[in-house]
Amino acid sequence: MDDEAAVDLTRQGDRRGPEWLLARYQMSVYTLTYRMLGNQADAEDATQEVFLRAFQRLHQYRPSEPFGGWLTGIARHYSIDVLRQRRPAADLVEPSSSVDVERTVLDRLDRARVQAAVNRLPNRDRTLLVLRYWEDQPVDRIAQLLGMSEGAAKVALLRARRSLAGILTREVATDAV
Amino acid sequence: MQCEEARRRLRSGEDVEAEAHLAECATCFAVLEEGDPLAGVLRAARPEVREVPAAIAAGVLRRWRAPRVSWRLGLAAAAGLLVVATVLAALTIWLAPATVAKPLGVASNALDIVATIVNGILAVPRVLFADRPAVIAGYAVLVIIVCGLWVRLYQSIAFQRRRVTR
Repeated sequence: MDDEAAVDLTRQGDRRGPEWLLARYQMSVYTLTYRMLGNQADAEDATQEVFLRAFQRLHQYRPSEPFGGWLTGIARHYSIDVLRQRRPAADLVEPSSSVDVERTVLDRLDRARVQAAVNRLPNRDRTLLVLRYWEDQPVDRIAQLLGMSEGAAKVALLRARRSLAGILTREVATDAV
Repeated sequence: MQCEEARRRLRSGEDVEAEAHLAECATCFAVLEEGDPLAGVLRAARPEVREVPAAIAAGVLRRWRAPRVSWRLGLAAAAGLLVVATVLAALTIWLAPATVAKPLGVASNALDIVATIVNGILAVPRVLFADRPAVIAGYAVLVIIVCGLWVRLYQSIAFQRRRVTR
């Protein structure tokens, strides 16, 4: 079976269609939503909603476009909407005045620590950094997704990195105390 | 502002003028990003997912409903059939009046019977609402509101059903 056949089966109400599409794409969609939303529970809910929306909107799907790309687009938009509805981060950390994080700070960073720091960022900063550095999206695409100009997106990315540097520097400094 | 000056200022701290230059300069953006070790740290810290929770597929398949024929489609089809039947009947009467005279006569009698029944049913409200346009208007508005509330209630119930996942 291929994507087109599975989509046709889904439109006809044949359960084999959605089963096949789920088996093929749920990993990529779940990975994206997990990176965007930062926790397993939200990623699970979001993944389910993304697939259900896709199945309801199959009449909008153009066979000339890869189904995976279309589905990923739905997942990104949905994740951004979820993040917009989240409460802002309670603790806003003073961003680092400098973009360059000191070597001593970098040496103490591990993946879990960086991921936790990203999750503590304000929603917009988090979305910017995730789209750019975890989803490898170009700046113009990020600008389009977030409804801003490309120039504004470039500046916002710089400021988001500063915010992250501020969180990491403060955490490492707290460790040293 | 020159690129070197803008990059120097941005590395040192916030600078509105330098940020305005950055917004317009793709080269400065690329240089600053590539020169920022935090960008590399972020990429290296990208979360990797090894396993998808089994509940996801089960949840989707449980909530997915096979597409049904839309009621709008049914209504449109019925309206279309009605139009076609009316046009065909009109054409038949126009083209071959003698042929349909007898059936029309029968149909006319049947229509009289139906009209009598309908008139009988409507007699009571006609007496009640005669010369009372305000009452008729109010009654019509009430019917519309009740129908609207019923539709909203149905949509709300259907939405709540879709939100149940576990």
